[in-house]
Amino acid sequence: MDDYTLPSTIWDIIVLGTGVKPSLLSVALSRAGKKVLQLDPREYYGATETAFSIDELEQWAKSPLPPFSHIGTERIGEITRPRGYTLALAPHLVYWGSSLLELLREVKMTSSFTWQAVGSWWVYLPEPAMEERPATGIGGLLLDAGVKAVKAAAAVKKKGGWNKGRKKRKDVDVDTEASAAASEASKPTTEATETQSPAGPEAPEVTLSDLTAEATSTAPSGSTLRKLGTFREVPCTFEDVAFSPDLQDRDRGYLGGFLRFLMKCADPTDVKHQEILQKNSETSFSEFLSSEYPLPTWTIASLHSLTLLQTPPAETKLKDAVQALITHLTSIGSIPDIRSSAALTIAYGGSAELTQVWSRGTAVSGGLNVLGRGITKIVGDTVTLSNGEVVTADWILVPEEDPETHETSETESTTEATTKATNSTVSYTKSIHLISSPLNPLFTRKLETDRIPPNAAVLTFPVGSLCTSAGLTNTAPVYIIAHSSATGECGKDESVLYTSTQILKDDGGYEFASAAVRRVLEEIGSDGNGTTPEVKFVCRYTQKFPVGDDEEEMVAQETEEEEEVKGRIVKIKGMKGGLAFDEGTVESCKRVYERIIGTKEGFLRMTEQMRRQYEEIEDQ
Amino acid sequence: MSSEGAPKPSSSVKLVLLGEAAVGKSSLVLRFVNNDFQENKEPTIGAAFLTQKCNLPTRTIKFEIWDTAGQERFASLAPMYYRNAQSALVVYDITKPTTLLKAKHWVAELQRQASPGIVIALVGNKLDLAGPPDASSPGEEEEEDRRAISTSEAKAYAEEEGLLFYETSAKSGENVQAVFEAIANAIPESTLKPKTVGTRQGMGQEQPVRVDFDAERGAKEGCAC
Repeated sequence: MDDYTLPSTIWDIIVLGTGVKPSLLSVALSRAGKKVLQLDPREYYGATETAFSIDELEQWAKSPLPPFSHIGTERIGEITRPRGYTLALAPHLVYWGSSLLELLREVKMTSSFTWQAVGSWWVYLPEPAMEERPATGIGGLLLDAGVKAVKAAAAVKKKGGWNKGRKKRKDVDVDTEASAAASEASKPTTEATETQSPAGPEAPEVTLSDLTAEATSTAPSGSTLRKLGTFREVPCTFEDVAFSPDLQDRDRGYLGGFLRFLMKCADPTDVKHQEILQKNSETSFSEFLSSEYPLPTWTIASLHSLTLLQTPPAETKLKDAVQALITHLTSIGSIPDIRSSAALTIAYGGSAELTQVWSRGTAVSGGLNVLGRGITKIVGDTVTLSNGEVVTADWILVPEEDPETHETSETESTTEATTKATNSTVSYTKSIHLISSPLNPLFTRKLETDRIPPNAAVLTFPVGSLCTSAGLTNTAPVYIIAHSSATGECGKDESVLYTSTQILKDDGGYEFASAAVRRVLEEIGSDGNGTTPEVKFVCRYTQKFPVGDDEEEMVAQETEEEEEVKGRIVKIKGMKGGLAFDEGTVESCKRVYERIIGTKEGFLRMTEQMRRQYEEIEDQ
Repeated sequence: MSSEGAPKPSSSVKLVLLGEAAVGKSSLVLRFVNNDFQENKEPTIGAAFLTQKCNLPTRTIKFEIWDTAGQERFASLAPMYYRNAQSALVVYDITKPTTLLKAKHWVAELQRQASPGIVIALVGNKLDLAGPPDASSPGEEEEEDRRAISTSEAKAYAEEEGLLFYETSAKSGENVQAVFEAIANAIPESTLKPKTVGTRQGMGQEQPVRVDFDAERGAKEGCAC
């Protein structure tokens, strides 16, 4: 099949790679009427964000290429259909309020995917950990007065979600009673003295009463935090805070105060809080909490788990944590089918599915996908493909760091000059564990009002909670993203646990992952008859990711005059290594799009013809 | 929007098209969906899939017809294309022997990649280019018979593999409706009720409960009825 020659040698745009970003750019440019040739030297879609069957994973493990290293696979149990699995290298969580979902809604592409809800966050907290308190003692902005505020707020009945004011400005029904109660409740705290934006339909901030959400009005008793063995559900709403049996009243006050602090930080017009953030932006998350909201250590670990950041709380910058927490908190409570959830996951391999759908989208709008073919040489606008064919393009989009697509031996000096742009990377150790049990307790409804159960969950092992055989304890959190079979990734009586940590293999990274998985199986998987589920298959690997601000990424820095003469090469930076879908992805793709098309407007919009067909389908 | 008579049970069925480029896959769909034919149709550009209802005596089948969008070239059909397909139309051109070879390749690919219960129809297209079926009548020899693959050869292969078999002409419309009706009839009732989905090889899962964005839309814009 490879001997087919391309239907044309002249293209508007050549996109090398089928990862998330190249695929998104490819379909967006194709929909904008550009003639796009999308290539990948690999035989599959998705590049570093792909999904594999067990057979394919085993094959892949045999010849690791950067950014992957130290790949090992092991079949332990009997696997009857090794080809039937879809195991994800990038099982990203997609927050309800994320820019990805905003984009997909805007271009009516949400229905191209099967979305599953991510349920609760669970933190592994053995009893002794519950006793610990930070040595820093009391101090800070708040006193116990906050307790009253939290309880009062939780008692308020109001329909809405965490982010009601933010997301649905149009239809906020201002419940005066609730607002009054809320603002009164927050008075005793020192924060009440700060300037507050007027609560009302136009107020972008999240008000205290919003926090109590659906939970209060619909399931007053069914919403207390759950426990699964040593795993405790993370309190993340005012409701949770108010009713958590693990919190003392004093802690409720601090935690409530911190949640309010976050909501205020979410408001860019709240000058005072922006200043506090600015001042403490380099302060560590745990340091800030211990001095301003002296909560027990376990609460810090719990809150930190919501950030999904790989750094330990003591090394997490406040600004990063606050940003991640705001994303979480502004998403929770808004998913109509499942109010207890904040994020979704895409069935059939997470972001791998995005790459397939978008690549197909390129083809559907007139572009061409070619697998198994890369680029060997770029000179000006002339591109030599790995099979010797020579084509030209006005723009050539290539991944910044990807040896598999980087067969470019003699690229122009212009591109070489850009490689020095940003070279900082970070490595994470990851694993995929196939489990012989559906791990049902993780995938049960939290609220009575949840119309659907979650099919994913997050489990975190805080710093110091795991131990290797050599006596090492984990210096960073270990995350597990659990997927049920409803994600289409495994068989009906199975589940998949994806682990991730910044602790490298040589420092016990793989061992910590195994230990964490074992804990889950023992405490959550046991069926009560003493039978513990087993790991049927495991794949461990290390992956390097780019770091740094989105601002400085992306566009090759050729000089303008060179651009005029030669082809224009744009280097596409890879996705970051977060567990949630990299929030900068959409914006950075829009910037490249703008450079080529001249505007960000219409990014990924359907063409007129497609829109008509879509409407016809909708009508039926 | 309501159909006449008592409402029949209606189910969606994903149908994927496969076959070599230019055998008339898209033309077949265009004939079925719009009862239309375009002589020199450009390679497929358009929506992700088209839909068309097929009314059977006891039920209505709504086909979601997925075209390859040219991805059959350059080995670039994604796994998501096959996923959860309950039926497939594997098309060849009766005037080009290599296309049947390719069709056999796609049948093998489906047996490997798709759900086990998939209904596959083998379709020899461009019947209009063949001579009259009664080839012995030497009356008018004006229309050249360009048939290169005999009906019996393809039929024998289809029977061997348990495929439905039809020869069609997207140009004249001959047999096009019949193919889709045959597929609709062949889809087992059991796979229709709770729409079963599975992983790449179909691991026999029930329809997973998914997050519904329509709920969100409904909430925002009110009922669309």
